[in-house]
Amino acid sequence: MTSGRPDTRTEEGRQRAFSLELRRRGGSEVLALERVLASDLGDLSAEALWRAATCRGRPDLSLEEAVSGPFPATSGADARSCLAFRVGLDPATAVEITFPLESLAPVARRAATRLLAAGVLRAGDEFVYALRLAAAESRDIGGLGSGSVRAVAPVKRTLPALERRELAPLLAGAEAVDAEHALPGEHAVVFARPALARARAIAERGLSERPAIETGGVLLGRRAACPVSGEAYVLVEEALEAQHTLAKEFSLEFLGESWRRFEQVLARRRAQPATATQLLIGQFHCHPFLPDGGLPPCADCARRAVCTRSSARPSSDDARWCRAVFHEAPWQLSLMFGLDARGERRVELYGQRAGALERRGYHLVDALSASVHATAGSHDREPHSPHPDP
Amino acid sequence: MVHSTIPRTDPPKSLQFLARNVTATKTLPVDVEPGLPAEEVARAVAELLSMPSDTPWALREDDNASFLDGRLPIGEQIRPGARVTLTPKSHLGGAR
Repeated sequence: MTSGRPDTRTEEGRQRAFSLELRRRGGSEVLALERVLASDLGDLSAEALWRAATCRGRPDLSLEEAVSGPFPATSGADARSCLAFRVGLDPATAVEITFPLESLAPVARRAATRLLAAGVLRAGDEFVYALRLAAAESRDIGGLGSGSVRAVAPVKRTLPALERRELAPLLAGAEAVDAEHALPGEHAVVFARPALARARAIAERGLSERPAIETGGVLLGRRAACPVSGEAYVLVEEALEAQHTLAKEFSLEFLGESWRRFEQVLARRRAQPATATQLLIGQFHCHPFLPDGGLPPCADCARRAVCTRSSARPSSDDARWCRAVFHEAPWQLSLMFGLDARGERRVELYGQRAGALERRGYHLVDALSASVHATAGSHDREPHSPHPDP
Repeated sequence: MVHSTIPRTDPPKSLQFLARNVTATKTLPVDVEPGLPAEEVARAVAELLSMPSDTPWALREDDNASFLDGRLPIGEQIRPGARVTLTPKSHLGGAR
């Protein structure tokens, strides 16, 4: 039997383990050494691979074979780089993808939570953290080292293949949205306008309830690779409503029946040749309340074209939920609906960047399936309908 | 006192099932002691799948979509060979 723990690192990488050293801000005493776990690094190694696929035209590489690390970053795009992964089958041509220290913020928060519980830190205390090389990572199962729970075989990873579809024709007829939040080299997201409209209708339904409640669902789509440029990108095709939920003013919980319905719909899509590569690609929901606890607009708000304060952004609960559901899925999306400080409705799209959810730009197309179908020029695909949410 | 002549069978010492994550991108065959509470098993499966450790996890049986009761032994809740999905027991939502 094997431990089954997925280990994406090479021997070289496996010898390097890291901890975060926490100190009180301005203090010298080390409060905690928090080990950086394989699960903490999973999102980053997957993102390194995805970035290489996106920017370097290598959608063929796999996580198990092509990613090594992490390593302490020796050079990077900017001085904030601290951790690096190498992506490529040949060390001579592998590319180094670097991440800033902030990408390990969830590890630091985990340590801080423990310090708070122990009374070492108090609410409101500020702390700083730094990366340290540590002893090799133990492979024990915490708390169940007796072998009560064992993997019978290694973890099997399954991802639908990337669609091979030209990107340029799609973008030629698209509307760029939130372009100021697009970063150079970042993968494109192409959103079908009907999917966005459906997500909006579902998410804003909760706004009309009294009291307002959070409503939302999941996004179905696929990962694609352009056969011309090699770029990887994301198509968003459908918005599915979360039903049988526990919806409140400040929370939305998917229950067993909610999940089962998503799985059933996705299974039906995958059984169809035209949608066989669809996957759960993101979530959407509404924060039906004013930002910042309802603070009035800023004094100079009237002089601004757009209010800069909005509740249409992921909360810490949202981020934790997405990290759990979309683990090692750097193409994940969070479509957030909410209100700005003026009370006007807002929608913003967030994607993974350095392990965190960051606002990003996207492209809207009227009929994604039709244009995709034409681009693919396939002979064996069924016409693709927009699939009303069953 | 009444005794049966049928030989007593010991309770099974292990239970095997197939676990996967919510997006079904990772699957893992697991062998557990049936007497373990389901929440302990969920935590261990999350670690075996290298899932985030700052999330409360639960197991959901695929056949009936219901979450297993974390306090009860897993062997009382699923049959050998069952398929279960490791699901975060957390919620989306904005801070008040």
